[in-house]
Amino acid sequence: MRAERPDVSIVDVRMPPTNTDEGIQVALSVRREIPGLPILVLSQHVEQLYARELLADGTGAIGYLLKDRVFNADQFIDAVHRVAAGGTVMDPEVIAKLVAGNASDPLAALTTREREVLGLMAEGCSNAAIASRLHFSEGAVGKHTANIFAKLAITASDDTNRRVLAVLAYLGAS
Amino acid sequence: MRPIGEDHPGKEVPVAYVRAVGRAFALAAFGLLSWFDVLVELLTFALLCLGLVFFLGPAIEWARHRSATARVLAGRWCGVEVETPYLPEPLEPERERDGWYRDGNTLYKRAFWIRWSRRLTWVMEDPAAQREFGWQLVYPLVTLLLPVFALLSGPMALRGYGHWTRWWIGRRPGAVAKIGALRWVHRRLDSLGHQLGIFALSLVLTAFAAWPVALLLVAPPTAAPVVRWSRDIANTLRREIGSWTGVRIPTPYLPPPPLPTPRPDGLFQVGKQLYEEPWWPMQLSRTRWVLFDRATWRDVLAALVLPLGTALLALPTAVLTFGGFLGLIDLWIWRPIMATWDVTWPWFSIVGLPEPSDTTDALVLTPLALAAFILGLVPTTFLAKQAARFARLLLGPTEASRLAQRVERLKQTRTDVTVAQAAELRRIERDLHDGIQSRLVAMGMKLGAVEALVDNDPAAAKKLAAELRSASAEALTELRVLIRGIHPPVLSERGLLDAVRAIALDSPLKAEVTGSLPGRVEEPVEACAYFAVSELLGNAAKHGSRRATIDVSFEDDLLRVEVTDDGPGGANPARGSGLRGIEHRLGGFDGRLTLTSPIGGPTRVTVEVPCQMHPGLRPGPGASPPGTPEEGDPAPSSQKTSTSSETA
Repeated sequence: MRAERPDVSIVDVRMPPTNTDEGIQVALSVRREIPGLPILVLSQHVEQLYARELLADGTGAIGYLLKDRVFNADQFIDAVHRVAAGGTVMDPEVIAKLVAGNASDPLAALTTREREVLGLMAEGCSNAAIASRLHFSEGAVGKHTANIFAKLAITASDDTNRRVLAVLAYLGAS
Repeated sequence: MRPIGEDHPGKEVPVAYVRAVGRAFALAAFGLLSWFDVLVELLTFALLCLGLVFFLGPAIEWARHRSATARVLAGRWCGVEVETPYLPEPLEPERERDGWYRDGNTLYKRAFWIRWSRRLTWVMEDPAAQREFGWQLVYPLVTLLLPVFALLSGPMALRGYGHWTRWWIGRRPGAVAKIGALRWVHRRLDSLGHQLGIFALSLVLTAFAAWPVALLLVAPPTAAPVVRWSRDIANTLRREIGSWTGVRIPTPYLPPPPLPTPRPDGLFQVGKQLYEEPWWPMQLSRTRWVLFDRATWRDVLAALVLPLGTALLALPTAVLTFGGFLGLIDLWIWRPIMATWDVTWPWFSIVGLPEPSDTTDALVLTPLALAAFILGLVPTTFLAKQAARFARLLLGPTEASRLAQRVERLKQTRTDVTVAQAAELRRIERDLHDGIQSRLVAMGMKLGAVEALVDNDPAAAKKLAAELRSASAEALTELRVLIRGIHPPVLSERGLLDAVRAIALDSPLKAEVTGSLPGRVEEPVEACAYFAVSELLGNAAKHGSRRATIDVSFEDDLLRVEVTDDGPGGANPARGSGLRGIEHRLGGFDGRLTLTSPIGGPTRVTVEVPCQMHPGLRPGPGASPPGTPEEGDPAPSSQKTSTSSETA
């Protein structure tokens, strides 16, 4: 990877020789040397712990998905492009657990729609992607994101990476 | 005049006779009244008992209203706030699943008795209640004097009254003396009491030791129950020694023999004799158990030797202490009183000292008596411990009995482990059968339909194929959940510490993980600890906690995981099935679970498992928590790390 500098690498978590978490270790160590090298990590199961470790350096161009997502070819290809372009892609299942776990006070102020938008923001979708996924207009999505930022007191940002980090930080800290 | 009946003897008889009979009947009736007396006495006694039982508790509680008013008035009128000093009210009895109420080891159909007995104990045993009773006696006198003081000094009198109220019926921080010297004397007196207590109990042991021996020698088959009773006395002695001096003496007895098993033909065999009923073989095996257990005979030896030993150790201290104390009493209380009657009691001449005749002599002898008292007290704690150790020599377990008990425990845990394992495998098989297998079958059917439709109706085939795709995703999710219940992947990938961090992140509580492990622990122990933490966090969430701390450490070949949560406490000591499941699994590793859960306070559960570290396995890279800007080297360090739920 260091030699080739591919546009995007797709890595499994479990790889030889020990078949434990080589994939994550490789992703982390390579990105330490070359920050921002796009890597998409696939796994049979997703853990919040790994998601946080991958996001820790804050440089974007990282993805963490369940292998199930490969079934939906369009979404998978879209995810690969997003990572190659420097965005962040988080598996919806990780986000869902995070959002559900914090369903108490902090997120009670949000409407259902806003919560959906929040989830998609945390997955790393841009406003356009959210709009197409939820069948809104981009303007409506923008309004929702502004509301979310206001209600949760997060610094507004259009950069998807920062949004992911901010939302995850918020959900994690509360 | 001669009496009427004298020359007519026949007429004399009727009058006296009638009188006698009349008197006899009267006496009989009178006698019956005495039964009436007894009835009245019994009735009043019954009323007394009823009153004691049913009315005393509520009466005391009713009287608390008055003291509550007094406290409120002290606060409002005298400016001194007084807190209620009572212990918290007892808990309501809990209904078990089968509808009965349990109190200790007895089951009740209705909660009334448990509730009532708890309230009565609460009311009577509260130290504040006893203080309050004294206050109820003295309070009217003080308030009668209060107007006088108020006339003299105005509001100050009320303030003083408020302070007095607070001192008497307010909250007292603790009854232990704050002064060091008093505490020292208190503790030493306690130890003296322990010494004498050990001596007394060993005398009881001696008193009851003769019977089992006699029976064992004369009629062995009848001896087993009697030996059991005498073992109860010995166990009481062991228990009290443990709680008084801290020297723990485990019971040394061999485990009881199993029930006799019949031969294939239904008869029971003992040696060369066959029996139809198991009763006699049971008696024989129990007699053998009792006769050939060395602990029985060591108990007899203890019964003979222990009183002497403990008496020897207790004698000097008791003599000195009591001698000194009584000497002081003699000098300053007894002598002045007896001097008015000109009677002297030769207390001091017993020990060869001159008798004091006036106050100066008394002053001279006082330090002597005081010194004797203190000198007697000094070694009591030490000697009590020595007496306990001596008892442990005789009453404690030998290597053989320890091994036998260990074998028994291992048999038990082995059964637990195999039963648990079989249940686990059954659960996996059932989940696979009901979940995945049925889904795969459905998917296969749909695939067949797609195959049939693809030529004729491609649109329908396409729709079916899309359905199949989502069905397979669902199957994968279900499989994922199942695997996590068997052996979570993060545990095999990263090890215990990171797996616990993963649980902490996924839990709805705010859980913090502290501690470190210098390597990887054996896998079965890891799995056991992981599932224990998962269960404990689940319990904490279920009982309304909001935060939890999980501390993982490894010291002296012992893995220790401590889960503390801030829930309402008061966890059921009978332990729910979850905790019991953890205990059973831990038993297979000789692990231990300790639970502290005071009411209102934090609940702490500690799981300890003896195990080895595996230097060969690569330890989990838990050195740097995610989110720290400096990337430490991948080699793990044993520094204390903590993951709180925040990212960069």
